[in-house]
Amino acid sequence: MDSGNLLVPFVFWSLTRYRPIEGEIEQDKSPQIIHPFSSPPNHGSSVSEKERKSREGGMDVRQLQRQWIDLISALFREGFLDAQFTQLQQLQDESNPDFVVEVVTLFFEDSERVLNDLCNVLSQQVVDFNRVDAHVHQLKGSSASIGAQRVKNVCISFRNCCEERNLEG
Amino acid sequence: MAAAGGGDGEREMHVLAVDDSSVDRAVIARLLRNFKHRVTTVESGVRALEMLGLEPNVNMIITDYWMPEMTGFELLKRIKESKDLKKIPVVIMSSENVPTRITMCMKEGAEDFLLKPVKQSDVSRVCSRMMR
Repeated sequence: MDSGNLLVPFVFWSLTRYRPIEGEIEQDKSPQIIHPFSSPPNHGSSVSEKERKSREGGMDVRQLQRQWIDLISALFREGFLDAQFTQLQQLQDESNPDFVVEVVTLFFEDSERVLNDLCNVLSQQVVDFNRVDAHVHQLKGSSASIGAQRVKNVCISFRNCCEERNLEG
Repeated sequence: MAAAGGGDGEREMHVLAVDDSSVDRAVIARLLRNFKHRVTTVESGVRALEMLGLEPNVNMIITDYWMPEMTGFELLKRIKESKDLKKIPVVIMSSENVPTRITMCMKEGAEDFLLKPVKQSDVSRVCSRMMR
C-alpha cells in the first residue's frame, strides 16, 4: 500500500526527532537552533576541539530538524496525514519522548496482522464480505487514530465495495 | 484506594480504558495520563469485568463500542446492573456517528459518548465533568 511505504521513512525520521547527536551536544536535550557563528572566530588554541564539534553537531541537528519538518509538511500537504497526527505530536514531550514512534509502531504491527487476515479472507473461493468489512473497519479505525488520512480514506472506499459485494473494486 | 487528596483541586482518578485496538489503547492512555490520571488498559469487556471484580475502586470507565465478544454497550449494561459497579461513570467511544446508538447508550446510563479519533478536548471535557 502506497501510504504504508511512505510511513516507513517517516517513522525513521521520528527516531531522529528528539535525539541530539550522541555526545556532541553539551546543552539541554531539547533540540533547538544552535547558532554556530555566534561566538568569536577561532583564535587558535583558545577554541577547543570539543567546542568545534559541538558547533558542527548543532548544525547536523538543525539540518535533520529541517528535513523532518519538510517531510512532515509534505505528508500533510499530500493528504497522507491529518490533524489527528498533530494531536499525537502534541502528546510527545520530555516525559514521553517516543510517543509518536511507539504509536506508529503499534499501528504497523496491528495493520500487518489485519492485512494478512484480509488477504486470507479475500483469497477464499467464496469471499465472506462481512469478515472483509470487519477487518477493514479495524484498519480504518486505527489509521484514523494516528492521523493516517490516506489509509483511512482508502478503507472507506474499500468498505463501499464490500457493501456492493464488489470483488473487483 | 483511588482518589489521592491533591490539594490543588486536581484529583487523580483511576480510569479503566477498554479497547480491542492496541493503537487506540495507547492513544487514550496517553491522553488520560496527560491529565495526571492513573490509567489501566484492557483489551476486552470480559477482561474489564475481571479487573473490576478484583479492584472495583475505579473512578471512570471509558470503553470502545465495537469490540468482539462483548460490545461497549453490553459492558455498560453489565456495569449498570451490578450493585458494586453501577455508580461508576461509563463513557463510550465509537468511530461511527450513529444517533440511535448514542441515544441507546445514554439511555442505558452512559455518561458521555465520544467520537473517535479521540482528541485532547474530548478527554478534557469528560475529565472535568467527572471532577465535579
